[in-house]
Amino acid sequence: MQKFKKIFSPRKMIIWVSILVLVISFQYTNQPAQSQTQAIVTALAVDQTEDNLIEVSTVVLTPLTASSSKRKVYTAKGLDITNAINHISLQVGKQIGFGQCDIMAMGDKLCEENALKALDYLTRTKRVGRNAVLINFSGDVENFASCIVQLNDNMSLNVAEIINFNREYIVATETNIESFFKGYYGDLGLSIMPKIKISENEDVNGIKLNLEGDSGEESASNSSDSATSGGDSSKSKEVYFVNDGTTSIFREGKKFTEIKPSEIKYINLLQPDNVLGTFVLENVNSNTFKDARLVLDLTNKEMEYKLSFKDGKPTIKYDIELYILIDEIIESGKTENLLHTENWFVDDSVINGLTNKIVENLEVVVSKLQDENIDMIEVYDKFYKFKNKKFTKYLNSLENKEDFLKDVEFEYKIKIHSSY
Amino acid sequence: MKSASRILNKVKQILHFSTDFKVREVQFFDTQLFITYIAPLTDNNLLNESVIKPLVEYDEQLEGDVCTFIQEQVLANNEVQEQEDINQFVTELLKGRAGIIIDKSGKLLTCDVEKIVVRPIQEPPSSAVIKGPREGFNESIKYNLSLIRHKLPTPDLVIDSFSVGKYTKTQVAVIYLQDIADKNVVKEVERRISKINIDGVVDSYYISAYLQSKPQSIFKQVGDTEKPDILVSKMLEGRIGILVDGSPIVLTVPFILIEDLQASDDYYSQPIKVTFLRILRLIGVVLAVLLPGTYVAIQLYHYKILPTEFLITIMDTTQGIPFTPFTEVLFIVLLFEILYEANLHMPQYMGMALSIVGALILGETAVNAGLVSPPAVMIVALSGLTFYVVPNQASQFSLLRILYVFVGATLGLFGILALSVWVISYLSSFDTYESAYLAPAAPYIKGDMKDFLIKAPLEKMKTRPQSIANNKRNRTRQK
Amino acid sequence: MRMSYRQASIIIFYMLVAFKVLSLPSLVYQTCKNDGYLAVLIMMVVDAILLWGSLKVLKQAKDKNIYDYVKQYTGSVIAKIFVIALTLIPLIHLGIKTKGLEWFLVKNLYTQFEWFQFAIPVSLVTCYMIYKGIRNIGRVSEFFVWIIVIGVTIIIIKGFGAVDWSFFLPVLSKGIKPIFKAIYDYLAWFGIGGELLLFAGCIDFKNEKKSRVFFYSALAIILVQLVLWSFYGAYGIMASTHNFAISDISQISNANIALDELSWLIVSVWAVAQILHIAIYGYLFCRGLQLIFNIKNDTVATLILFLILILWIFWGEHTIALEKLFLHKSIVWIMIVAQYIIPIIIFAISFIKKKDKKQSDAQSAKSQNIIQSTQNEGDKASNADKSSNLGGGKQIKPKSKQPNKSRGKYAKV
Repeated sequence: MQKFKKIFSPRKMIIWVSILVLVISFQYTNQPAQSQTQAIVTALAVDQTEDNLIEVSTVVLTPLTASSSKRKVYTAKGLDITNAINHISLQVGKQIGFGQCDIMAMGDKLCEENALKALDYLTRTKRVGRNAVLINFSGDVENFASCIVQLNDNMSLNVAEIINFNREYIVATETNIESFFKGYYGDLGLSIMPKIKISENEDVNGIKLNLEGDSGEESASNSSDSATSGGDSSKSKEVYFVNDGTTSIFREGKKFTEIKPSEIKYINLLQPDNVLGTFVLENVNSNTFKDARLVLDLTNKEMEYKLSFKDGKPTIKYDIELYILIDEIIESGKTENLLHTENWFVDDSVINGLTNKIVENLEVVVSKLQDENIDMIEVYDKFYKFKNKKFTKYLNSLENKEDFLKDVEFEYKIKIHSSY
Repeated sequence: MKSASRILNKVKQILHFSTDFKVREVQFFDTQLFITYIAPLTDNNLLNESVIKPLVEYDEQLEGDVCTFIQEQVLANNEVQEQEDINQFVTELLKGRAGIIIDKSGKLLTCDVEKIVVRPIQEPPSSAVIKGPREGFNESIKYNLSLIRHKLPTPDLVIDSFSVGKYTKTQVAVIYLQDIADKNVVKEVERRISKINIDGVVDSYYISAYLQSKPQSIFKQVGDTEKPDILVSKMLEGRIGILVDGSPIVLTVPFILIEDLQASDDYYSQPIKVTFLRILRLIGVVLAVLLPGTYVAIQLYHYKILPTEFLITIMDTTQGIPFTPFTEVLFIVLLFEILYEANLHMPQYMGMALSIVGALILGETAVNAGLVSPPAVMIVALSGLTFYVVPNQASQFSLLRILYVFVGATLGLFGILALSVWVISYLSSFDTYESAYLAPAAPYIKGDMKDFLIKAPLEKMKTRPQSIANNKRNRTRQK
Repeated sequence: MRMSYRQASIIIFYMLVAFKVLSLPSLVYQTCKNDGYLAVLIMMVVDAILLWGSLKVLKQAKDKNIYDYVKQYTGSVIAKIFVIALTLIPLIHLGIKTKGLEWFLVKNLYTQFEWFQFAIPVSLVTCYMIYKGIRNIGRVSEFFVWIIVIGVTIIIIKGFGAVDWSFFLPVLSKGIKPIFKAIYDYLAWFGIGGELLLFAGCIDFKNEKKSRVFFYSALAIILVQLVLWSFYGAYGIMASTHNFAISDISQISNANIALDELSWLIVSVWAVAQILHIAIYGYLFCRGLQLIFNIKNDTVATLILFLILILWIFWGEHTIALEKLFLHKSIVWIMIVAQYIIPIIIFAISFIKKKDKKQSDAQSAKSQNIIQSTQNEGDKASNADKSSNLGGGKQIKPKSKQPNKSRGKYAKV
């Protein structure tokens, strides 16, 4: 017994346990870095093909190779997304790691089918971060991935940053997976995604990129001109990466329409986010201007709204104050007034012209939203939160609650101020 | 009647007839005197002037007992003592005293003629300061005590002496301020010192080992200093100093960890600057200990924490390295430790050249050869440099760093966090000499926060720290 | 060795915050939707009120453990039943906490994680702290508390930028019923009054400052509410899909994703708090175990806990979802009885018997050794190893002399 106590005394136990721990843990200390054993994906593009297969293209980080590009594109097809990703894993020769994936792009066909097909798997199992930027694209999957590599390597443009910039300053579009799910699981099932077009036809709104090479090999050229990098005589092709602010609208995870950038501009006026923009007024005539084309820059916006019910129908009145600057004046003839500094002040012709234009366009855009039941301006949320009882009563009175937007009345009060 | 010759022979036997044992025979009236001394330890001038000359040149009347007469009327030495025992007599001879053997009575006298050979007082190399006193202790306990007495000319300064070591009989002095130091702590220190049963003491570390409750721990439990001003400041807070003859390092107890985060010139600079520096030191220590382990953990388990561009840089630089991240970092850490040790012990005239070679080997050649990656070298180098913001704890933290690397490799970031909690828990359980090791952070002592990370102006520090056991709360004069 | 009143206040802070900022917010949302924070607020206030009662009992108990204290009023059988019931609470809480931490690490920090990579550090570190005693746990808690509060505050501030305050409207749109349902369903995540009683004999009330407990309780409630508002306001209806509120808040920001990932380092600070929670509940469990089975040796109790933790972490990997396990009605009823009914009974007993006790105390004080604060932090360090860390009121040595009055307020805690 004493011998037993001597062997298993606390001090000796600590030594035995330490030795055991050392032995077991040695195998863990001897493992290579995860970044070397996993294929780190920074961007992912998914679409459905004509023959109902899922095509996945990934941008994988590669350590320094013979070329200067640190990213490579790998593309594969499969019966479903799991299958396709497994094929890519085999191509790369490593397990795929999505920890650094900050761009998730889905093609038109898949979006029209059901975006959740890819999203749910990737976020739940593969742990793609929910703050990854979510994009809808039209065009070839591999081309899209190659464009991301080109933009990153040759132009130091990070697509995620471009989209975020868009969101902050140009179009108030929610852009990540989290916001998509938020819309999807909301009462209306409405989600939005920014859209990017990969066009092989010239597009004035796009960035021209030269892509080359086949699938699995280096898809980006090293220089910005169209010289090829050697190896096989690759087919260099020009594509246009168009990010003009088009927004795709989804209902219950399926894409059903798009909103044009010109429409988004007016929708933004009804949003609390203070995004910038420009307005163009044609044929402005006044004491100051003669047949002038004015480009007005929106520098600040204040928006308030009031909710009420008229005859049991919801009414929302927007009080919008805009602060503008005249950016550009193009007149058919030369007038002396252009030389005067007071020409920079916004006069009644400008104010009235802009007010009318805004109201007109707002009515058109909102009418479109109402017809298609797209509650991008969160009317439902506003009434639900601030006028809950009356709104619930109103909803219960409808045959189809989804058509609630059609009966909503919109009123606008626009005030234009000069920024000076 | 005891023959002086016989006694002399006995003394020679005890000393094994060592050739440095010298005898000078003097006839004092009708009594034969043997003046004995150990030549290398004796100041010849002092011996001649204060002992031999008075005895030889005395020509007045002899009154009473020879021994008493010599002691009181003849010898011009400040420390004349009668020894009862021959062994004690020999011990005194070995301390540098001159001994007088008186014939007929057989009485033994000793006088202090010690030749003190010490380094001059200079700035200690480990505690260089920009502002403040630059004197440091040296190997002589007498000189050191004189420095302290000079700074504390108060009757409350108590010095208790001990002789420790069977062969070295080293003088150990326990010093404290009588009305400030805690009596229980003083008792405990003196009890431990008196219980030391050892061959010899050549450095204060020997004493320190016995004063620590957990000598096997990597964390020291006894403070040390080479500067009198620091020692005096600590004593004024209630600490006890232990001086060891032959060592310039003075020990202080109780010791709490925060002492090493405080530098001496903290008290000679503006409080705001000092606060900034202390926070910097703390951040430095934390970074130095955690950085290599965290780097390994992130590489092995948590690459998604890193920003993408930085990850690309690391991937580029680690591509082709034959070692795993753990092996690589451990290799560099050990290399740094070897460099440090070599630098410490190599001859001065070779030091510069070899340091450059070492730095080149690590810095450039190893990286170019693809043995190690630049991020790993940078991190370990930064960690190694940062240790020296707290030089007194550098060796302890260096060991801890290796443990963190191991844990980071095995268990990842969570392992590092768990180890950090364990370290704090371990340190929290150190209670030595009635003081908590992590005070005033744990336990939290509000009054001591004025001199913790934040340094309050001197006029606000009116009370002594509660983290240290002491008897008097107020620093200022009672009115 | 006992902990100081300040350390006890901090431990109460940890216990109040422990479960409320990880999986509970998403669970509660599933029942209450945007009123989830009200359910948590109500229960935290109830717990804070009950804890005052527990503290009064602890103060009355002085150096006695809860078993001895209750035994003098109810007899040994009922006291034992009470202690068994009280011991079940930290066991349940240990289960939730351990699993919660493991899943937090698996889902957020690690891509590959073996069970023993979690089991070994957690068990070793917490059992070490428990073995060293409540004073050690108190000191470590004290050390980390402000680091944790600052870390959590930074996370909250980060999340506040993305909060949509209108999410909380309309208030109580579905009435008060879902709130009480949520409270009932998730009762295992609440409560402090019952298990706090197991600290009887462990707290030194010498420097009692009621404002301290009030401050730390209020801080806990405010911090939890801020986390909930930040979490719910930022994630809205997606709150139910985010199982780890405190870490997911830091992931909210859309822009500059690279920096967001570094905020995991701040979240690591919360992981430290989790370890301390496990140590606190582990200590309470060990204490209960010792009282139930009359185990005098601290090491044995700690070893039992170590084995339980290892087994639970291993076995728990293969069980049904944690929520289902701890949502079981039996667990809910154990919590109701142990966290609320038993403490109230004990409060009532102690209140009624208080007067009688005063008289009997005066008589017994003459014949007994006067229990001074020798078991406090004021004792010499050299005695630390000899006294029972978990025993609390046992092995008390009478002080040989009075403390030196000129020493001031130095309280070695």
